[in-house]
Amino acid sequence: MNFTKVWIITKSLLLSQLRATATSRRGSIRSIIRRPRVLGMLDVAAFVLATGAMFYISSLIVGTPIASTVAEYTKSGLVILPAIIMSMILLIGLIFEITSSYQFSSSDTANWLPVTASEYVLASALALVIYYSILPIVLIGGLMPLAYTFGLMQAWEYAVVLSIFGIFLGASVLEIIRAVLNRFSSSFYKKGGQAAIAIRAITGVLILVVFQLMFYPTIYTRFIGAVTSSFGPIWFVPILWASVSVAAFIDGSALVSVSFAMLSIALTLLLYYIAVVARTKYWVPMPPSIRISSAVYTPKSSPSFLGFLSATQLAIARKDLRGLVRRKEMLRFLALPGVFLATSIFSLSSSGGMSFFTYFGVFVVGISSFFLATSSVGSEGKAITNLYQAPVATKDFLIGKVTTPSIFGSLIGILFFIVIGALFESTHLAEVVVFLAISLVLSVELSLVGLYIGARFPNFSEAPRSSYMSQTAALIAFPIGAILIGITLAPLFVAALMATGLEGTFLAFVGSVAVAVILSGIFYALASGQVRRLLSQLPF
Amino acid sequence: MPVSISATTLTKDFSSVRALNSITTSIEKGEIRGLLGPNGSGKSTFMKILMGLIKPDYGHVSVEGFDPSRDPVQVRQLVGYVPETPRLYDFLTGIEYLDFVADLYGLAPQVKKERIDEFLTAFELKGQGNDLLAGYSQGMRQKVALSTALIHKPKVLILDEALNGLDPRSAKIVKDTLVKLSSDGVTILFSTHVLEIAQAICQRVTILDKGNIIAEGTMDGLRAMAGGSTASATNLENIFLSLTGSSDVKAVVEELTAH
Ligand SMILES: Nc1ncnc2c1ncn2[C@@H]1O[C@H](COP(=O)(O)OP(=O)(O)OP(=O)(O)O)[C@@H](O)[C@H]1O
Ligand SMILES: [Mg+2]
Repeated sequence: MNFTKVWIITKSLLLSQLRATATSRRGSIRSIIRRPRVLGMLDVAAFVLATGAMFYISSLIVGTPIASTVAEYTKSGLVILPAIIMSMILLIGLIFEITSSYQFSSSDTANWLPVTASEYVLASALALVIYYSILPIVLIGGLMPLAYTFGLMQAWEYAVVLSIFGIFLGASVLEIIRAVLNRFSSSFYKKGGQAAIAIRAITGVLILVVFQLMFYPTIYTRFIGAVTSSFGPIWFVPILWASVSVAAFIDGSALVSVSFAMLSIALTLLLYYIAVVARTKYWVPMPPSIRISSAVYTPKSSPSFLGFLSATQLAIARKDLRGLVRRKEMLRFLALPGVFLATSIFSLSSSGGMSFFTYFGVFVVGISSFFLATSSVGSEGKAITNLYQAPVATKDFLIGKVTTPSIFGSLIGILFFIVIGALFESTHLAEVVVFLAISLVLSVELSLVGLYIGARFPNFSEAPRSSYMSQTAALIAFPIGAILIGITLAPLFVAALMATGLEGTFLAFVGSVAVAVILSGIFYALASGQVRRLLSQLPF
Repeated sequence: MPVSISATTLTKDFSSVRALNSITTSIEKGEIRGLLGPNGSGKSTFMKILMGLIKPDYGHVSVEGFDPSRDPVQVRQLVGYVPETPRLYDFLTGIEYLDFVADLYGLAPQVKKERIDEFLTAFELKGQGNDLLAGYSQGMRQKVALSTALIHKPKVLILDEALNGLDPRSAKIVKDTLVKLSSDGVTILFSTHVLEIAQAICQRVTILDKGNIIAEGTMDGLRAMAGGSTASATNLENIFLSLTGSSDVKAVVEELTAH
């Protein structure tokens, strides 16, 4: 392996991400972070801020009665750190990074330059880690003062080293997923037709969900906790080996600690090796030619429930919907609700009963619409010129673009609440209807919010990675979406807390709808302005 | 003749390069205007400004009476455009893509169907209409892009090297179509590096170099400019080379192939 080459590829991957949002001088849709060095400076700043804040907080805690509890939490935090960081990288990668289209992966420079698979995989993993380094750094930095305060400094150092391996473990798994997705979607080339497209989409979603579940630590701790309620038996879960090692280190059992550290490092190397093999074997970046149907072309008339859309709006929405189910690089958005629902159903306690599930379902509906909408501008790529050269007005663009994520979220909502309704049918039907209704409203609201962010921070780069939004947006998107969902649902939360009964729930529902309408109005106006600015000049 | 496209003192800077330097020209209705010039001379930039895809820094353009930077939607409704490197939606089939574009232009369903059928037949794409564009060859993509530029019967056509990658038969069809459209009153602005094409179909030619118009006129006019009736100035290639100061071709070739 040639490490100079690895570093050169890493840098080019990073730069292509960082500069992706470069736009016209007047359009001014730039990312602040344009150079790896700035990224490094931000990391340092984040570390300093996180440690500073936590030093202050821990100085307040010392000597108070809660100190011992916090010390316990710090210990658990250090123990779980490597696993958490690993799954964080994995989830981020899954949402923002996973695939680029065939058109571009086939012309990916790495394919025709003398670069080996192992060099490329390492570079790709490094680029991902560096690009999102700020998140693990905040976690690691935040834990340091606590560790220092409670005399766990060495354990902290130990956990950080193992976390770095955890990061690479996560990145390697991502590379494996990439290769597997390539492999399976290319196997559908030979077939064709709508059915093949559907099967391809469903299989892709399943692969993503299963991988995410396999590497989701809390699932294992839950599962094991349910059996024994101690950390003891987690040794048979490979992705938790690093955690076992840290726990043993804190307990002072050196032998256990070292052996599990070795196991964990071996696992990382093994997964890296698998990633390399998978890339070598399954790298088939040939653009697929699929015959969709052999039917004679008849122009479609609009489906009646969307009759209020103009021909242009409908055309944009229909195109996006087709892209969502047909494009390999859109699979992650299709899989997102599944990933969220599956991981939480398996890992969170179900003691909350129905109301917990309903809130969570509503949240997933909102966040799914939201992320799909944030991608809706950037995912056009350079092909967005099609919308620039045709007579598309701001309003048509906006409504056309909001339709697909709204429909997607609404479908998820309807599916989810049909299941919930069936499970809790007799007792809570009215409540199910209320939550279904609010989730439909929410999917429109969050689509507007997502479109605003997507149009504000678009990333049109198509190769070698396609994240569809700039790094800034990738970091702020989730909190913004989550907070807005929280605000919208606040009246319903309050009603639930006060146990107001059905009447109160209805009242709260009206309140939530009112909040949603207001927020939708605000974000419609914001998105409108942003889209107008975007459309005023070609952004690249 | 009424004017269809006009530009006055049009200037565009890209950070350090002046892509267009105070361009003034006008194109009559029904004219086929060839736009020639070396790489980087500003041809595509000029066309993008006419489409309202980028804004000029200075000067004014008008397309069928509209200012593209102020009323881009009206301009785009009237104009058919083929960009330098057309980007299609690879996840749509040829028919779906044409249908999509036709919807953006607001064509009625029946018109849409007729037009799409016509283009698929003319460009011999009938058999591939239901295949994803991802599997199309470069020439096939170019045909699709040309179809979308023509589908709404535009009053103006802006074609940026639109014959790239077309086989001889399709190129002939397009050239004949352009001549026919021009006689029906459609204005055509046509950039190309293939000087024979310009010579064959363009009534007038504009030659750009480093953002300046260095020559403009009919073939006869240009011939006169490039040195009267000497034998070397009879075809467009020689005129072009002598005007753009690139008559040192032989020396460059020798340099490149030297060992
Ligand atoms: N988006 C841009 N950013 C910066 N500079 C640009 C941009 N687009 C064009 N330029 C510059 O403007 C000048 C004119 O470019 P343009 O694409 O118009 O040339 P052209 O005549 O179409 O060339 P070609 O024959 O190669 O297509 C070039 O110097 C080019 O580098
Ligand atoms: Mg050009």
